[in-house]
Amino acid sequence: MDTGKNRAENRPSAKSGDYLWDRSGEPDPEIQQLESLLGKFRHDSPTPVSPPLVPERRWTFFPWRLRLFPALTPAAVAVAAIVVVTFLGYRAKPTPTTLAGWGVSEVQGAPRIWPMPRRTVSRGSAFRRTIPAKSRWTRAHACAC
Amino acid sequence: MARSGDRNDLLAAGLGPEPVREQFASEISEDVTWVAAAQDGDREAFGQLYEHYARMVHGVLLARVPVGEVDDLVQDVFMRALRRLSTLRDAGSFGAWVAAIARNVANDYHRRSVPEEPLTDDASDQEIQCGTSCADQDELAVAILEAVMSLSETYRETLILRLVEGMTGPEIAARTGMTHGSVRVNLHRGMEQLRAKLIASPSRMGPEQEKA
Repeated sequence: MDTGKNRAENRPSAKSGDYLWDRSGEPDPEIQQLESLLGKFRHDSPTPVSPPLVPERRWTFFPWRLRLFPALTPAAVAVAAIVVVTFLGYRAKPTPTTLAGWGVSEVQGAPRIWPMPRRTVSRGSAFRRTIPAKSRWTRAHACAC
Repeated sequence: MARSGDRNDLLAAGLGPEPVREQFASEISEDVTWVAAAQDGDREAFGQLYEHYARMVHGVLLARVPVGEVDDLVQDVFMRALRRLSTLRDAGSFGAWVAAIARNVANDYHRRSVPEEPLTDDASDQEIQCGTSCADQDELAVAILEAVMSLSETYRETLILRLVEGMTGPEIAARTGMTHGSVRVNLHRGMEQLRAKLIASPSRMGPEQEKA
């Protein structure tokens, strides 16, 4: 690194200083000879054909993929809505009747299945409990009938 | 290398201040336009930048790598610059930026290759005794280039830009981003050292210089 030492020796002389600096003033034969000899190493290649320039994307806060987000949002919402409606629709449907066989045991009195006696109760019959008879209706078992 | 950090020394030495890039201000503003256009994909603008800076890049590389490798590496430098052009924030400093790329490319070259005949500073102590065989101008030119290469890196880049590439001092300052004072110091001190080496082995400068 250059320092301020030996400043005087670095001051350009009146003769060669300007020529070395900007080729002004009286030409220095020594420098001219160096120029002519070393000039053979000078860059003289023609400008190459540069490849097509594809400008790189500038940095943005959102990467380009996130730019698709607004466009995809309605589609995503629609799909989600369809899924939810379908799910809820299935849930709301009455489950297939899997009537269990009902066992009726007499607790007190004579319970009747209106208007039939208990023994004649069949699937799908309406029944009414008669007061003051008491009965316990228990679900015997589930069946897929 | 004497750069802007040496401004105080240069001021003390009476070599500054000089308005940096004054003479080449219009060229720099053109560069800004070309850089902006190249960043937008304009091939022709990048070609203009190449024409403007190829000599400087060539000189920077020549100061560091063997002559035979320089042309290929110049292409590498500009390809690298092309790929990274979008990262250049200050278009006005394209020259300093591409010079830094060139220095990095030269360093990469040395990192990945084993030099067959390394040029070291030890060469500065050796006298190249070419005698009559240096009558051939090409050999003489090679011998002088070797003498330049034996100088410290501080001076040889500036000296090569001036003597080989034919750039003037202000041009070197404008292209590389160095201050005028730094370039002037490097030129004169480098020239002093080169003269000393050529005097030490007078056959390098040919018969006319020997007589002188």
